[in-house]
Amino acid sequence: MMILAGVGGTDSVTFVTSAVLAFAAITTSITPIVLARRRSTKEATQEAKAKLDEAQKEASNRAELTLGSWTALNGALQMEITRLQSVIDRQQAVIERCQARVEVLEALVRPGKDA
Amino acid sequence: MPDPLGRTAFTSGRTTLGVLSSAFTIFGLSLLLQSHRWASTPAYHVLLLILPAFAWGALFLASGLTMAVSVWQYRRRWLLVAAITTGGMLTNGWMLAFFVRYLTSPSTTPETWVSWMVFDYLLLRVAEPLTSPPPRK
Repeated sequence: MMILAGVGGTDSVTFVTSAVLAFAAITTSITPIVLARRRSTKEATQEAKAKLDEAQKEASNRAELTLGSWTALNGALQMEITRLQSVIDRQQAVIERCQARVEVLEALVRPGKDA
Repeated sequence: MPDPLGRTAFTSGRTTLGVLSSAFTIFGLSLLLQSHRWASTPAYHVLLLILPAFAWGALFLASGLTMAVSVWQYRRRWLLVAAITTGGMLTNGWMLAFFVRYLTSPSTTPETWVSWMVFDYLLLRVAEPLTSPPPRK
């Protein structure tokens, strides 16, 4: 345990003690710098984390918007297809009525002399 | 981390700083007004060779009073940093000085430097919240 015993004498101990006191004073005097640096590191980490959270939230919102837009577009397209199908059905009915009329008229036509 | 027993007052940095302030002020006043007591205690012989009792007393009293003002004005960061720095200089200095004495003298115990190490730990506990950034608004 007597590591420094070889130093010997009160003067040497006083010298070493003075040296450690000066060392402690010098090293501890940088405390404000250490505190400020640790604070700025934590602040930067916190800021980066907040930015990441915000980006994740925004990405999530965007994804929801895309899904919403897609659902709305799909619904509108389905409605348009149904409307066009009913138009086609109506036109088909008109064509069928016209064909029936043509057949009736053809039946009424009498054969000519040449026939 | 919240205290498991719900204690807040006795574990807060402000209370710790208050206790440290009282200790340093008592040391300072004692060194100034009862220097003969310190001079007749062998443990302080080398420290009193380096600086006289009144000088140590003035340093401890100044440090203790700075801590006391910091307890009062706890929101002033610069004051807290100053109190921790001056307190740390004395605490580290005396801790290392007693450690040197422990290594050089067979008639000493580790009680002195360990006690100052505890003071150091308490100062670190007070300093730790100062490394956190201010709360976001």
